Amino acid sequence: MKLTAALTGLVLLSGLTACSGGAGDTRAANTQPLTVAAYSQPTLQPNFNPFSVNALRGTIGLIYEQLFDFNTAHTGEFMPSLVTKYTWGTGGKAIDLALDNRAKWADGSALTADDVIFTFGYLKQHELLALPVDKVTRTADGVHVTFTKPAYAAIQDLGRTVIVPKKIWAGKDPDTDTNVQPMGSGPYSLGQVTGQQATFKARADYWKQQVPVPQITYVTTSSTNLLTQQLVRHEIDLAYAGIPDVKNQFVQRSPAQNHLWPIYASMKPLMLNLKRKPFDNVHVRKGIALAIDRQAVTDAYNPGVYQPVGPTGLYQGTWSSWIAPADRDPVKPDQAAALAELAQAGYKQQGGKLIGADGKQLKLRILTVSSFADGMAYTQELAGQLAALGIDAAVNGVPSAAYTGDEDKRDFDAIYGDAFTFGTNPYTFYNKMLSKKSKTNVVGWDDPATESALGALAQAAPDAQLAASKPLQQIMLTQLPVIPVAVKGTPYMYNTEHWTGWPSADDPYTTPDPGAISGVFAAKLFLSLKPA
Amino acid sequence: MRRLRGAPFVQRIGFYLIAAWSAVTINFVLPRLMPGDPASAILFKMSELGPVSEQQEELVHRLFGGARGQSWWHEYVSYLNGIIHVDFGRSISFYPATVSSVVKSGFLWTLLLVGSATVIAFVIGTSLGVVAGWRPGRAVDSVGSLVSIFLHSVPYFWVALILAYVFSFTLGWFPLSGGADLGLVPGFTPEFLNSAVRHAMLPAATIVLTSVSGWMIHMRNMMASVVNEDYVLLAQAKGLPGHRVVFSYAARNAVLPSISGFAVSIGMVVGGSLLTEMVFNYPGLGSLLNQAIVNVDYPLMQGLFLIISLTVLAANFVVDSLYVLIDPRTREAS
Repeated sequence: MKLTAALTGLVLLSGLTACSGGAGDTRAANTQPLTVAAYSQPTLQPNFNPFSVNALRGTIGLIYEQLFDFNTAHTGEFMPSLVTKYTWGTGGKAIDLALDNRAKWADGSALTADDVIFTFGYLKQHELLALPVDKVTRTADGVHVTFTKPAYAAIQDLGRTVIVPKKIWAGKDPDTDTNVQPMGSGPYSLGQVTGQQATFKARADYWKQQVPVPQITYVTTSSTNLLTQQLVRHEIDLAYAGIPDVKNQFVQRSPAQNHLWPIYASMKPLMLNLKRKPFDNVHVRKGIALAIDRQAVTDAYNPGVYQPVGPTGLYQGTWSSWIAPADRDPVKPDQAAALAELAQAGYKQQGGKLIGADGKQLKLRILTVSSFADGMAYTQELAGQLAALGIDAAVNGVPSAAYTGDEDKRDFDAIYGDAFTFGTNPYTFYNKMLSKKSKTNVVGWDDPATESALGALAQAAPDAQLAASKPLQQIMLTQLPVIPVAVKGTPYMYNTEHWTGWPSADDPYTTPDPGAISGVFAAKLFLSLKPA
Repeated sequence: MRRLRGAPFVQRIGFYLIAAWSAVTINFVLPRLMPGDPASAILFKMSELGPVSEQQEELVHRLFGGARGQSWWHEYVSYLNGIIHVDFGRSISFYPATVSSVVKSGFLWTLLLVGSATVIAFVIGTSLGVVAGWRPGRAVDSVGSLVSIFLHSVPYFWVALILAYVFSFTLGWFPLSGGADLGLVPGFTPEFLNSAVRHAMLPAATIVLTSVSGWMIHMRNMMASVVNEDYVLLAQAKGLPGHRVVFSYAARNAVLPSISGFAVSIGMVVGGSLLTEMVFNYPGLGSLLNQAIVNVDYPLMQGLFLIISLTVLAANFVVDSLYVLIDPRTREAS
């Protein structure tokens, strides 16, 4: 049975996932590094250019530092990094950032406002800045940034700007430089890189504090099967990946030491193609939304890793104060109500099939990526539920390249695979999902009321954001441009054999991420660990 | 007569040039028939790992969105031009690393692993085939053929998974994955070589186990038909020692088709054993090819396919030429 279990991963050979983590041992006798499964690909190429999309993980967070971030694993509280405090001015068109005056580069020189001003100018010059920054000027304790339009909604992107030293980067091309000898201000310096790992060594002179983990190794793991074995043997200390049956395969192998913490940072809706009949009919969408048993969907694979989500799309667990009490809970499946809605669109059950006015059965093919076993399981459950209602529903599982291809060509009935990330306020979330200008609005939602609500939310001051998000929540409730199904959990797995002090549901001080999402999260994690 | 002897050689070179051009062109066309585009593939991969900021999204579209911007003809010309100048451009999945540096990083791993495994499998398989085919129907033949047909029908990656589970995970005799221990710098140091060999054992065993039977069955059948030839009977009738009859008369003739097959498989070595490399997380060309396909990385695919097809051509050319030495009949024919 053990064999069978260990081999379940073989079907996932190509459905790789990546992870991160690390464990190091400070005790002199033990030099074992903290090891993080940071990549799902088998090989690496050295690249420590923080502006490159293929920068190796750790480049941001361990070597270079960002300005600040917000703890999205908890209630979105401010997380300082190079910036200790921010103050909005002139209706969101300016912000004052106070720099931590202790900050130093690895060569011992001070990290100053000049470096920050240079970095913004450099990003602008190379068209890498997606923020409406107008000017950055020096102030007594940091910098003053002005924007061409109110930038309240862009605060997190602003905070995630990576600061590089002016003296080194002035002559570099951010598009083609691989920056193989990085010099940053973060707690680690680069050790060595081979084709399958990158090692980071703690800096003895890090400006903020003593670095507890002396060495962190980011490794590649190309199959979930292999990753499971490495996790069980504690060869890997931190990982995030869709492992089949993770509770039995990992947690139960050593319940005292092995931990799983899913973080709900994004929402995965069922997306119907609004340009295709009959999904342009709101009654069809409502009927389908009412027919879905969201709990059963999330239980279809690794129960607990995904959670059912309420109809506004915002996760009721972390966003409850934003949502009216009546709209918080996930919609309960109600077949009668579903059929009533579908009847309004002309679909009636005949012999167990939903037949429309044209005499044809309602047909729905749900596009998803075939190599992700978890995504396939969720989608199959969804399709099964809709088939039980009388819809000719089935899963269309395709390789990821074909998935993005079909998505781009808008060639699908429905998609279950895209997820939308919650930010510090609901703007990014709704904007990516619903704005007609958004590349990820693949369903084709095009609605003037939505555009103006998004515009208002983008410019709303922090204390006005809740009210400004209400019109968008209403659109979700009444129009169902997409059908919220579940929040997607990122299953962080770690063990406490070598290191303790990991963030958890009880103490969610950061997301245990190796730098794939945020360098501030990663630095906070590694600076908070303690030897076991 | 001398000129006549040279003619087939010139013809052969012409044939290889045309084959090379076709391979190069197919390498160009094939990746472009895949669905999807590099920018979406990269964004998709990024979004699986974590939220993608608008900043990153814009960067990706700016860098890779234009991959389909130019006409195919324009791309084809610059591709051919690049090949002439041995410049394959920059990889997309490892951007901004160049294709040549990426290919180079996997080449030696695969050449050593799959190359040595293929030679071992060929030698063992062919030798077993000689023994089995010399006396068809005897115990060695019956048992050997049965076992090898069984092994031949087991999928590659399945053997790989079983070996990994038993010898690495359960018994802990061999490392689970990778090309060498983490923390060792590749180079000609005893520690590194020792570690690399240990890491190569299981993947190599997988390849040998699954491919040895192919060589064996092939050789056994050729051998079985050759032993009934008149010249073998004559050799036996002359009272030559058994080993001489077996090796110099029967096996020497029976092995000829295997040698052509060997040329092809040596060429294929460079393609790597994709699944084996994936199971063992081995940093070779097979893994790179997988990454290139997943990321719709046209330049890297082109570079890898080119290396693969050119190696197949080169190996064939060498064996074709050597064949003339091994088999006298091919010389007479010209």
